[in-house]
Amino acid sequence: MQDDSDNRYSIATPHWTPELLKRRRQRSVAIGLVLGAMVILFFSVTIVRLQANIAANHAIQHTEG
Amino acid sequence: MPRTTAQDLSLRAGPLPEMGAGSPADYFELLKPRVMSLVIFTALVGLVLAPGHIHPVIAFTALLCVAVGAGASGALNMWYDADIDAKMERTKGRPIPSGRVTALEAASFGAVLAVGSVVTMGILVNWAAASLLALTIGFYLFIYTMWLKRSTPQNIVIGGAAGAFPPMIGWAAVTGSVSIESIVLFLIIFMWTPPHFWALSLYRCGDYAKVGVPMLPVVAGERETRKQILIYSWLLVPVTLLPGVLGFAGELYTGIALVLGTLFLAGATALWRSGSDEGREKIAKRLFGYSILYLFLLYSTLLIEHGFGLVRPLSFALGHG
Repeated sequence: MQDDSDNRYSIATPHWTPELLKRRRQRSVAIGLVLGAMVILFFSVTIVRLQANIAANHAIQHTEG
Repeated sequence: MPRTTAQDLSLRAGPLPEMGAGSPADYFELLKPRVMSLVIFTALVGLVLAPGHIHPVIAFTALLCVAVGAGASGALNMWYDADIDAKMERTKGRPIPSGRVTALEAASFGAVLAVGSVVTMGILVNWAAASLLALTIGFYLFIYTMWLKRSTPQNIVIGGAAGAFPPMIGWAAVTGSVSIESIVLFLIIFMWTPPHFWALSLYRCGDYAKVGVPMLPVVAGERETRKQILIYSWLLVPVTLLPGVLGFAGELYTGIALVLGTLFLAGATALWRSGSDEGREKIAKRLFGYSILYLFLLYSTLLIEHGFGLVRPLSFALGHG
């Protein structure tokens, strides 16, 4: 026997048809790709900034030397 | 005007699930990709014109953040305007009114992208550009969409500022600041928006009247709208000549701006003088189409001049010689 809270959940939960499950999978893949791209982007910018700082340090050392 | 809740929209759309019906393409549509492309282009021009050097990876990141921020504004706008979108021919097929994405999903999507784009811009590019991006998103959502759009026929004049910020953001991504040159790039789009949008609203005013949005033709009539288009066109053309006068654009740009501006004024004058309703609609459509080409060509010329080192300042330009 179901209590009230079970009924409430059965109304709110969508009926997952094969088409809806396919779309959910597509959305999950898209979110995964976006997060992967974000990781690559942050890593690339970090490398660019490091290179710029290393070059600036070299320039300072040459000037002082 | 009463607001529509996510539940109302779901009921109106039929027996669709409460969540999870949208494909990635539906979410992409929420970003208003056509508007986004213009925003990316104008931000690129600001980025190229700005003095100084920016690493290509940082420049790409800045443009990406501008694109995502613009997309976030589009999604939040579609969330807020879902009730009127459902009643207008042009917009009733959008993801929320058609029931493919719920209003709550669109709002969450837009909010996450808005915050994400601003924070990413701040961390990876600089906080001046991030602040301008936040201002742009906030202006579009709170000032234009929530306040002005449904309350005054001047909605597009003031709200147009949101669409004019991207070149300033591009400029700030390189320099970390705002300067007179970037303000001029802003002003060109700001002054261009009213005649551009009012030309469209002249032949789309039925839709706006139906949902109670006080666009100028709905409130003041089409004669007043044609007059305002002409006035704003006369204000726009001198502003487009400022880059040459201030010395950050050259003879090529100034010559093209003069020719294109003359054609714009000719179109606005023809619309003002137009007689029959049918002929008027035709001229309005032509002016709307030309206005898009006009802005694209002006900004393309600035891009080409700077990209290929073709800037030959005018002899009377400020700071020249």
